[in-house]
Amino acid sequence: MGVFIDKLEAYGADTEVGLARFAGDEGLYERCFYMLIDDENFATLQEAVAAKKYDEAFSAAHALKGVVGNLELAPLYQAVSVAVESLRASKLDNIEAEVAKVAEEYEKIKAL
Amino acid sequence: MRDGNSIIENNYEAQMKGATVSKILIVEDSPINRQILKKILDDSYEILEAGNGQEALDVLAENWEDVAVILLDLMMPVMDGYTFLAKAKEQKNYASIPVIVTTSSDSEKDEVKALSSGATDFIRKPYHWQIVKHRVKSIITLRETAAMFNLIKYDQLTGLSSKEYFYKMMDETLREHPDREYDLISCDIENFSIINDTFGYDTGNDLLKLVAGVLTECFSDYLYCARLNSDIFILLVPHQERYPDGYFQLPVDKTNERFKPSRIQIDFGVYHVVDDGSTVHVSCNRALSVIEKIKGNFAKNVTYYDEDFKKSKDFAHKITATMEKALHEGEFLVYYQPKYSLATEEIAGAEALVRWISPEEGFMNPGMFIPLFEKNGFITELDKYVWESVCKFQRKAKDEGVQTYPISVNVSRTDLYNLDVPAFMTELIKKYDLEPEDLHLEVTESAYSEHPEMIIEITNRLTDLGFVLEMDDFGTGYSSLNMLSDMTFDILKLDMRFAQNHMENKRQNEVLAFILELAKRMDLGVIAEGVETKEQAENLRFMGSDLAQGFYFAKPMPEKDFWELLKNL
Repeated sequence: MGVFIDKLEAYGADTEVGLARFAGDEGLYERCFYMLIDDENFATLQEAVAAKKYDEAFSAAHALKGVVGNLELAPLYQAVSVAVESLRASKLDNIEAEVAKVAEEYEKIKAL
Repeated sequence: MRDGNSIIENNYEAQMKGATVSKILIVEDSPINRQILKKILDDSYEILEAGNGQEALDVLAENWEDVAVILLDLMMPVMDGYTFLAKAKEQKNYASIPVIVTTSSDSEKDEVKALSSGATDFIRKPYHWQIVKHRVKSIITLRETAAMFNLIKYDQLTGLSSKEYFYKMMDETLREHPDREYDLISCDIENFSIINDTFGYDTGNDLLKLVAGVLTECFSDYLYCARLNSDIFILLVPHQERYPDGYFQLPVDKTNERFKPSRIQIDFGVYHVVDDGSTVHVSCNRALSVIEKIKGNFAKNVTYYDEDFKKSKDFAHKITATMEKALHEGEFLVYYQPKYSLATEEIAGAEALVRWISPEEGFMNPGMFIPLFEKNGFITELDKYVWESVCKFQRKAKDEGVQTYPISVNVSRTDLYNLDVPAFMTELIKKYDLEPEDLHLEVTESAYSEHPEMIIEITNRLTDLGFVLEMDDFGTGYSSLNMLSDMTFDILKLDMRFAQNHMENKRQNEVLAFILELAKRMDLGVIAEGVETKEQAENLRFMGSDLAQGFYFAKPMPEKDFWELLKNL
């Protein structure tokens, strides 16, 4: 188990499941992780909510959710899921806070 | 599997190829997700990728023949999953490729919608790689199995039903509609093997495909149509009491319009399916067997199965089933018909003729069973029995001091093919301590003319061994005059029955005179068979025939009567 896995583990990711999904290929897991970091949907989500374009926001959040789930980044996944549900149901009273939480988690993983 | 029909009915040829390298098309906009799916699957399959529905359609256009499964994400830009799914299902070539949609874990609605839009299955994200692998594998296996069923359901060359499928569907149809009446129409392309030999198998196959198309065109009310094997087709159609004139000529004309290499004749048999407890196989066999009535008949190309035909077929079956036992149990009897010298009116020989006295059928003349035995080869067993019976008779006569004369036996052309007749005859003569001259051998002219070299070789050997050969039914075969000089035989047998009124018919008389003259010049003996009146006998004597045989002199008689005849000479 490499450094990368340890760091993810420390963050709270379920690396055992994640690694299994990548058929044990740590290198690929890592590459995909970095692809996530570069995913534009994070920015899109923030901007869309700011501009109150909630449909766009939903698409971005939903797309993120799938990928984040596949990488088993649990805390980030939680944050994104909450946002997705709110946007889906159009329960927007708390949306800014929820999206901020996503941004927070995003910063955390970027720092890994 | 949803939408099973489109899998089974479309593109069976493409599906047949599916067993080579299976490709999987992953349609997913997130590169991460694509990577993951690719990782899970690329050790077993070749992966094609597309980032949205439009790209996916482009990839499919190039690769559809090899794509075994499509993994489809529903949420995509440019063209989303549902749109892609709809477009793919519209395309004849792609419609049958199974689609597994990848859905989020919280979208049961999506799952339902995807399935009802034509997706085969769904996989939830986050991907559980074992589930992905298994689902993909089982769908591919299912599809290959369906393709196998296609192989079973369809005749690969013509696209008609396969034999098995036809039988199955006919059976079901008859069960489901006991109140409806159906006909089976069988078709046979005459001399199809010659087409193959002359023009090659590709042309032969083209003809088969052509005929398949013509049949379905002409018999457009058919329920099922199959190619049973090589050039034999069969259709199940609603019953018609009478088929219009020219109905069965139309398919032949259409075929000849489109097939250039050679003129084609197609024969049809019609069987009105009856509910007599027979299986569909039996019914189909009836439709097929009746075609033999018109094979080679240029005037007719359709025939109907009727009671008479059924009776003759049943009779033939019965004969075949009982013939061995009959031989074993002595039901075949040898009768003798004496031959008389026209000059002296004294007996000069006899012909051995076989009769069958069956406990079931009673007294049977050779005409009722010999043709069948010649076809199925049993004639040789029967002939060996007759030859041996005659040898026993001759031996017994010599032992008891009864005057013996040559007795002629029939040697069928089948015997000449099946058996080393010279060797067998030599053994037989030796076994009974007889001379070759005691047993004359009658071979029909048509046996000579069908395979002249082979027959000439055998008859030469027989003559060398001292046997006397009689050519039977002279004038009924196809030999040309100059073959006569090559053929080895000693005696000509003429059948007078074909020239019934030759007394009145001057021309026939002239022909007869000519034959007799020819025989004299070639130093051949002549026996006239079927002499029934005194006038005939007189005329023949006058014209120079040596011997005569017929009702006028004596009918064929049982062995013991012939024995008495000889004893009392």
